[in-house]
Amino acid sequence: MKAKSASAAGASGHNAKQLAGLAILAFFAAAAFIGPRLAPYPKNDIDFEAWLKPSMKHLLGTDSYGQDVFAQLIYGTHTSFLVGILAGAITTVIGVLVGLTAGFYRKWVSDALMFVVDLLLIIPVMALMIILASFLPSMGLTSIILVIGLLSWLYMARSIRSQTLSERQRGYVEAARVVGMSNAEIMIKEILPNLFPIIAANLVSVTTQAVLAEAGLSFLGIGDPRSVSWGTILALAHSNNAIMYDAWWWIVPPGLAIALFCFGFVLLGNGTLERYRAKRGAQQHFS
Amino acid sequence: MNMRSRPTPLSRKKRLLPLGIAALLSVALLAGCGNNAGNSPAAGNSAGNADTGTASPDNPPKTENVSYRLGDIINPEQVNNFNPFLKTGNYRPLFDYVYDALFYFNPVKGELIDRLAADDGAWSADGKTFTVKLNTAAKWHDGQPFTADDVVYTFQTLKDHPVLDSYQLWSDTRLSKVTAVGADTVAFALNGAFPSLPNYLSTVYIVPKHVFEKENPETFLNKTPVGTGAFTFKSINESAILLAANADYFLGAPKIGELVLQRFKDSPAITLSLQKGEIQGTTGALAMPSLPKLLENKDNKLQQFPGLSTYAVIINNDKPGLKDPAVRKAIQQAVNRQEIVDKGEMGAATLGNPGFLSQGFGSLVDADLEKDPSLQFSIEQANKTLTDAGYEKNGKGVYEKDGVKLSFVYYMAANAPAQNKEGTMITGWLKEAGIETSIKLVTWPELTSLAMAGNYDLIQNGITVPPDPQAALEVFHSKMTAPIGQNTPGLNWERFKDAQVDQWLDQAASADAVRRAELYKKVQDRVAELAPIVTLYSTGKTPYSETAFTNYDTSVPATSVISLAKVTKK
Amino acid sequence: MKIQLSYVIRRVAFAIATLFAAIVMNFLLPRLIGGDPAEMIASQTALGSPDVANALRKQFGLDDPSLVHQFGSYIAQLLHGNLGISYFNYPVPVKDVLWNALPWTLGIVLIATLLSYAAGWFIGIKGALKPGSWFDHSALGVSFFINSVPYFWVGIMLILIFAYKLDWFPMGQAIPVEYDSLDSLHKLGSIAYHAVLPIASLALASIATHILVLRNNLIRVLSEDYMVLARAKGLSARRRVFHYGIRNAFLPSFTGFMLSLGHVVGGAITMEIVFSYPGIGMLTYNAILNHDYPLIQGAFLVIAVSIIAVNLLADLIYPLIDPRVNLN
Repeated sequence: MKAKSASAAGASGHNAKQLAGLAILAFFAAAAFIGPRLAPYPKNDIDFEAWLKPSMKHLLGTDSYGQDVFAQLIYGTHTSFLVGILAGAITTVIGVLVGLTAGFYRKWVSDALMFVVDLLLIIPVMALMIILASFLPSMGLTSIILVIGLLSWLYMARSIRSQTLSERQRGYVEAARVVGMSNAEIMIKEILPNLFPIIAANLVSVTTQAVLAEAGLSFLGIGDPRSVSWGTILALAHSNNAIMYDAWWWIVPPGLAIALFCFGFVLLGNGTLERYRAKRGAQQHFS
Repeated sequence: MNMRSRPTPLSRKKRLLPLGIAALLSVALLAGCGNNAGNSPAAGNSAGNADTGTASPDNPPKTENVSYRLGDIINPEQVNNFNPFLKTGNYRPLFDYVYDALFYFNPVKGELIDRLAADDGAWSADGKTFTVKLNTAAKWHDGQPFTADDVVYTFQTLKDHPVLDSYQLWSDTRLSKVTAVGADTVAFALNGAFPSLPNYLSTVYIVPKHVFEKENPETFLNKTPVGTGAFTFKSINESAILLAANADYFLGAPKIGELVLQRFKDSPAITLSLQKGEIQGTTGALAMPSLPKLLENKDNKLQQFPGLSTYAVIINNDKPGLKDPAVRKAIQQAVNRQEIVDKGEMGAATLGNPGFLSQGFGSLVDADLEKDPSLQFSIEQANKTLTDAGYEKNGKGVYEKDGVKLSFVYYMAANAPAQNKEGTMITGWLKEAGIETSIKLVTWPELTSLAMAGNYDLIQNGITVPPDPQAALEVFHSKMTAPIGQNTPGLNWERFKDAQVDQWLDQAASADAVRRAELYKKVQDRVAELAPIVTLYSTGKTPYSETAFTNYDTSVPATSVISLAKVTKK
Repeated sequence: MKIQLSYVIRRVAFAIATLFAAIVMNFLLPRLIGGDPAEMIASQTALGSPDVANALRKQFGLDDPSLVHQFGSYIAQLLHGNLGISYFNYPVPVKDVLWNALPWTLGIVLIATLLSYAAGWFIGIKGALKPGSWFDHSALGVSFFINSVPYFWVGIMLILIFAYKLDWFPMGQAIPVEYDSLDSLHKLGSIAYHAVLPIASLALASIATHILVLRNNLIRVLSEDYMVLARAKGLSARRRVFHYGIRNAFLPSFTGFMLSLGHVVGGAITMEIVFSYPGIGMLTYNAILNHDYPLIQGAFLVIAVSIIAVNLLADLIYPLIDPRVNLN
């Protein structure tokens, strides 16, 4: 009952969630694209004394190399934002395509696709990423986005497929068939819109995972050392023992930035979902 | 601990349960503290920190058994065998503590110190026989006497199993026969002059014939090593290798009772343990940026010496653009080596000499090169060198000449943050000098295979040479290289070819000491001039703590076996 | 509910096919990385001597140029239960190398997974019963935060607070150095003590997902018609939730749980680095960096077998607990 009353609590609340999410993401987008021009110091500038505490001159102090952490954080926003959004987008597109196809068509198409998915799921993703990374000509931003985007869609494809399986049993699919719609039309025009909640739910986690995967790859030392991201800042803070200096200003802000960024997505996703549900009535089928 | 007094069972039915995370942690805490009795370090392990070392009352500490803890990165693949013949599967620094070679090469002073050899050895008049008297006071850890037969057996094994002879001591121009002369003397007969032989003798640990002759030395795991060394092997587990002092050691029993080689997975963890006093020293691995903090404690020391590993930007001299000495020179001038040492290595590395030879080789190094104005860092000078050679900047600010653009791929190792930071600095300067680079991170094996096959433009990597100046400078001998696409037979990865250098090195191979020194200076000057490589720095460093121990011998590495045999508890 | 024989046969056949494909892929993948381990060893220890490299290559069986031949001997070895000999652990068999690392990984990751699910489900149920309450909100908020920071950050923070500053737990490693001289009770105790922070960090890092999946499903199930009916019929809230609700909401979580179990063997490489903990994750990573083909293959094979086995198990259990699963 609680759930019902919550969803009936009015569209205004949901809009607030969406708006808050959007505001957070807009803030990061601004930081990512305008920030570098406003950043107080050039990227990878090593001209300052190391381990300075936060001050007016260095809002978040300096790191072990004498780089201004605040400036690095702004440059890092650009990288992490792009990785999150683009790798997330690649993942979503592939995940939806594969999941939808495998769920809609039966027999061998489905079997073959899911066989590949299950096979790839067997190998640890991190190991696959390392192997793929060693294939690419260089590990710049593009490669990182590709590596993460191309290897993260497996779980998403699975969940989209199972949802599609249940959707295609529903009456509206049969009705569309009777009207004479082609398979492609049914998939895109009829089923896809109904998958929206599950896609939205996945999108949130996929974006978060992309940002985290980039951090993980940096931590393992695979990536472009010249590029700055929230992950590389954290990885450096670890390998240079920031905790020995009690340099919280180096460790905490990037962690908070990632968390806030992902929280923006969660808010946006949940807000949108709830609106969607409110529109469609109590009919909700997401997992 | 105070946690024990808490009510133990966390009631599941309680309405107001703390946050799940807090609950999880408390459970974890309770579990941990419940077992606290088992965690107090074992008796006698009084090494170092008083804050964690609360000895349990039923086990009174034995003061005579003082334990010294040394930390290093020791991976599982490094403790599969303790066979000093094998190149893989073991942790080589261990052998210094358990075994002895005839000599010990002291990287601090670049000299040989007698170990199993009782004297410095003597050359025959024709320079083709080297005779060493052995210290027969030595005894194997199992009580068997050490004899000349063990030495002969060790070298004969290298001959019989060429795969184990990594420095090719038995090649056609080197050893021809190793024989025992009586019970306490060994003669090394040579095919040709090989004045560096004693240096190489420091790389071969003498093994007990009575243990090894029953095994196949290529596959013997030697799980309980029996050596002549200052420490005897006790046991190994997931956290440490435990060694005990050899009370009968022929060069004087160690003052500490136990030496613990504590195993870590990365250098930040080692640094933190050192700072906390859980270990008293490392064999070198350290998160360099933490150094200033570490040294704030006056009892923490950093001993620094040149060492045999030289880090450099290795240039492929066969590649278009890089073929031109002017371009290589410009690269050399555009790299601020001092800044790399100061900011990248926190000052704890020895500035490299432009002539490549590590300062560890002492007086053989041409120190004048350091002051040569044409070899100093100057972006301006680098630009000038290129414009003088006829290069012009294109629209993107990159120099070009005859359609060759100065744009290169810059390789360095993945998973090496300090290296990567240095690479970022170097490529930044190159950009200012109109030389474009794209960075590529590859694994260590790939880095090596690229270097050997010559499929690279620029590589930032270390070159480790044996304790032999001739071998170190043969990094520039054309016989040690191969065309691009073929693997080099030696360390001349830069594919540098210079007839003059070859000639000098060939002469030096069999020359007397004075003549060799002269020739080596010439080679170094030539190398500095033609810049086949940009020498950055060489590293040998030993961080150690005097909080609980003292009497380190710093004329050798402070955590080497010679020093640790003298260390005493404060 | 009886499981149909044809269903079982199909699932088993599928598992075997996957296993075979995995073996082929295992064989090919590491060889695609390129690089020659023999050269690397030779250059590190023998001035890059080609003679030594060739001798090593022969020792490793890398002198056989034909991939097909290499694959043939690989399969032949596998059939004899032989995983080959690790290059970088030469001459120790891959089996022994893996066997040494596996118990640590299994212990830590398994306990962390179980704990994380148990706590996650518990919090999820509590939250779903009162969605929007302060408990629900704060549990979601905190777990979301932890879920969206990198794992190694959580690990570093735990070390900083509980090991470095407070000194309650060791900063890393699985056992104390003096382990061998302890009696068996203290050995066990010391292992548990050293495992606390690694387990806590792993459990924390994954708890958010478990909370969320169960919570959302339970909220959904509780709002479905039959639950509303049950309420109207006057069934107690407790009975409704525990007897009907959780059973139905539990299924998606169960799938996730089985998947996680399969991945337990894969280890947690970042955890192993941060805590200097032994295990299979670091082993695999180093094997990749060192181009140690037999070890990579061995590690991947063990991981693949465990995942396939757990998946098969899940497939077979599923129809027993969820009558809705269509066996055809």
